[in-house]
Amino acid sequence: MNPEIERLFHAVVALPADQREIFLDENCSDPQIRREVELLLEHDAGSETFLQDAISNVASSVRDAASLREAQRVGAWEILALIGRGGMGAVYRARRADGKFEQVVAIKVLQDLLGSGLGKERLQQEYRILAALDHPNIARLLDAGVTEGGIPYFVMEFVDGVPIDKFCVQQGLTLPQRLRLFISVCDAVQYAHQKLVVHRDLKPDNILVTAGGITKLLDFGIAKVLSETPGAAVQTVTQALTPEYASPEQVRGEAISTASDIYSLGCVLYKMLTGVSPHQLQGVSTAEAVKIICEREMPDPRKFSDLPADMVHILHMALRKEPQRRYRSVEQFAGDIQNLLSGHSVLAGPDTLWYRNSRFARRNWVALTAVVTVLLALGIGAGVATWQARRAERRFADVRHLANVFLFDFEKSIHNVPGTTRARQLVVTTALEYLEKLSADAAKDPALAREVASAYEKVGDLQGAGMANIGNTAEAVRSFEKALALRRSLGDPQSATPGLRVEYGGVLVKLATVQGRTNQLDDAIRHYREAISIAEGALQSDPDSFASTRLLANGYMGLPFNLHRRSDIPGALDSAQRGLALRQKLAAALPQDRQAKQELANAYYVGADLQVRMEHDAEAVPGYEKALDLQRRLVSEMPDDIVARRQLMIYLNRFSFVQFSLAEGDKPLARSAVANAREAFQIADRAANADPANAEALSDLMTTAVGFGRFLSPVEAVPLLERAVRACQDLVRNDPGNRENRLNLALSRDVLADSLRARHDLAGALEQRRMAAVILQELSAQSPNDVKILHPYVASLRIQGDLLAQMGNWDAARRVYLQALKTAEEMEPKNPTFAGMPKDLKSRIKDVEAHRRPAP
Amino acid sequence: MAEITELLTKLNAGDKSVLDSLIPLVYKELHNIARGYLLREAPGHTLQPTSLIHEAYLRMVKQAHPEYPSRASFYGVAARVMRQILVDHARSRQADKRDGGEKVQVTDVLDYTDDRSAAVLAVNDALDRLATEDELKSRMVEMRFFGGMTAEEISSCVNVPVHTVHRQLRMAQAWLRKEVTK
Repeated sequence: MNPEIERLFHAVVALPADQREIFLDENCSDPQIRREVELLLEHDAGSETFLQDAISNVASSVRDAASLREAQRVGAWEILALIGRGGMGAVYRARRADGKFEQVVAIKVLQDLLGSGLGKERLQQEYRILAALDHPNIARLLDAGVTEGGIPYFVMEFVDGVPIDKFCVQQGLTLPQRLRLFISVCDAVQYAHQKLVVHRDLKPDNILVTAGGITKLLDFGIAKVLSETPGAAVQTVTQALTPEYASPEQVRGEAISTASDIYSLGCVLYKMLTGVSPHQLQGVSTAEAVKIICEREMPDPRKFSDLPADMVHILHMALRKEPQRRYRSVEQFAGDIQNLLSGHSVLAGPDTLWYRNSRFARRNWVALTAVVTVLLALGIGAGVATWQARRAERRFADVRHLANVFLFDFEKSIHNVPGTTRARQLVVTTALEYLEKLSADAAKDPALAREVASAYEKVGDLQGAGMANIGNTAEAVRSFEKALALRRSLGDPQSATPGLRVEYGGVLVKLATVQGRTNQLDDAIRHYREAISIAEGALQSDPDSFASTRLLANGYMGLPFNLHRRSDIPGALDSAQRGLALRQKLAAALPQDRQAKQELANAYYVGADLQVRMEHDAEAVPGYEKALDLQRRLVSEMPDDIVARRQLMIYLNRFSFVQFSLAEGDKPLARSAVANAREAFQIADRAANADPANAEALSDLMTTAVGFGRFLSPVEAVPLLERAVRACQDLVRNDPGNRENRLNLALSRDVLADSLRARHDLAGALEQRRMAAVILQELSAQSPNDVKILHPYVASLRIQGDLLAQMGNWDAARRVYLQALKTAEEMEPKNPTFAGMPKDLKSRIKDVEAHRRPAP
Repeated sequence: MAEITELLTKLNAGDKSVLDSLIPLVYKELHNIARGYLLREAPGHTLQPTSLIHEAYLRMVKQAHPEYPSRASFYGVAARVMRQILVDHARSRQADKRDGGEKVQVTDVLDYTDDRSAAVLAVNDALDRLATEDELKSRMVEMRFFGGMTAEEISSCVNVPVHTVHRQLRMAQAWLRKEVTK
């Protein structure tokens, strides 16, 4: 080594930087020596760290090789070789030590978390969540545990592959090929986000591509375990991050969400397309790195690679500093890349955010409206994107909370607000998505099982049982059955605490209610009876319990109509009486309780209506009057209570029918019938206008329109009845399994036909009658002895025959009369409603036959 | 034991060929330490990788030669052994990579490690070149960085004043960095 160089070097390094050049000007005349000294000076700063780093890295690699060659086993796994080392510990290739299967796995041993307090339980909890990630592009998590020495480890599927950025270079992939590869990564991340897992550490080294070109994501969710382990040194966690791919919110230590993964994916894509990461952070201090990541815009990728302008926009959108301004979801990100690939215009644009947002908003108007309604109802001021981000981020415990907020708080807040059916629909969909995930975990967690069961119950209400439901009864039955199964998984309901028993019974009643409506009579009866027996059991241990008494009453009050339809008249009367007595007792004991009064009114109504169904119309009047009296008081107490108003409407409508049939020349009674029908129609009309998607409102509108329409002149009635028919058609379309809707459609067609006939529109009337008969025939095939169907069926055929005869179509008229006669003759001995019908039909047949044969 | 003593004596006398026989013995000791480290070490106690290797060497030699003359000259030998171990390891990693023997998996910093393996090999080569020009500087770097010795220890081992060790090292470091990055 040249002593002159050495002398000058030592002399110069002792000087402050600004004096070095002057010193060399004065003391070094040989340009070659000067150049050499300057080179040494250039390499002086950081030279010590440089050497230390080079050596200690290899040393740690030696250490790992040594330590595991000796340790050999981690849990049930036998170590084969060290394959890598990260900020947290090392990764080894391993296989099952007990030879149970031959699979080669990768084990991540988190040496640095030794003694950090990451307990077995917590690890297992995380493991359960992460192990549920089952996607072809995600390396499966197979096991997790803690070594004898207390070091946590994760066992993963072993992936034989290269990092995605290197793969692109090695294979010389074209831009479309790179993008398609990237989309497959997005699919996996989106899948995990749906499962409420955020990766938190996406980077090329965690995204491998196998020789077959399949992408595999590694280490899903593990970064979260690390960051949330209190004992883990902050430094360790920071080191575990890969700052080049970390989002601004991540390096600032703020809340991490799906948006953070979107940012990291953006960085990965940038690297895949340009060969460099958006931020060069080598040799930069931590503080500087944070500043760069949070403040510096990504360098124009076209400096490094030839890319279309839209590609740059897409990268920009993914890499925005503010999480809420990035793509809303990975799916949207991938979708935009797909847009680019297929030559469509992309969502991302150069700072024309308003335009983009408004375009998005227009396209998704309906969804947005619903979501915004939900958000407003929840009192969440944040934007949609944040909500979605939050949704995916808050896993498990928070999901539980969210589901509760959604289903209970939110539902309660919009329960009485008209026009919110669409929002409810959204709530149902969203909630179900979560519940599916949660029920898997519920098996091991009784408290969770109970919550999930209540949530399913609530969903069932929204689907088809409660007030203002969305009219999907089949789905409602499924939800209630799930709720019951979950509760049963906690143990035999009969031997549970009274509180749990009553909850279980409550779900049974709801299930039975929906089943009764959809004509699953036997199931409905069985479930009501089961609820009764549960309530009786609960009352034995606590005879004064209002909840158990209420359940018992509800069980009894559910039975009468169903038993009547099964022709069990004594059973129906008996249960109606018991139910009424119980509700009277409750209402007396709870004078301030609106619900008790409402239920009592309902009991009077059921008793009265049962009389009507038994053809004892006159006996029904006092019951209806009591029900109406109670209900009117409830409505005047709280005029905004749409549930109470609807009950009033039901009673009015029904009573009006009965009054009408009783009137027969009794003018005051007939006037009262008309007034009640009008009032019922007005209530229903208001509700249906306020919430046109509400199945119940439509059904109510139809019923009351038909009821009121009867009292109107044909000209006034036709538009009203046509509206009723349309409402029924909507109902049938939305819920094809609901028999009641179809029966109502048939009946409203019949009524419309009458008005049309009165207007001398015979063809129109015939058409409506025909369609009605077809529906009634289908329905009767499903429940052969149901008077409620067969009576209108025979009546409708008879009138159809009359119409045909009136139009001179004797042959057709005869055929229809004969069809009616067949059913009437079958039913006459079984049911008094049909008395005289065959005789009447026979005389009509004789008439048309006389016309058929021209008089000789 | 006798074997180790003999090897160490030869090494001290300048016979570098004995390194090959000595290294497997150090490795064995490393494993013993590592096992304890992995299974029993107190929480939060993280040894520096180089000092771990150091410790292995010390324990081995202590067993072999409890009254080994000078701590400093002993460290000097240790530094050489360690340099050899690390360079061998880096070479085998590089070879693995070429052969495709060990595939990349949870890569974390694996590629980074591989790069650093390359870096240590480059440092090793540069250090050899430095030795042909300035044997003493090369020895000092070896002691400082592979042996983890302080300037004082180096000073007493090679018999030069501490400030000279500082100066020589600074010059050697800059030179090595320049060589490696050029």
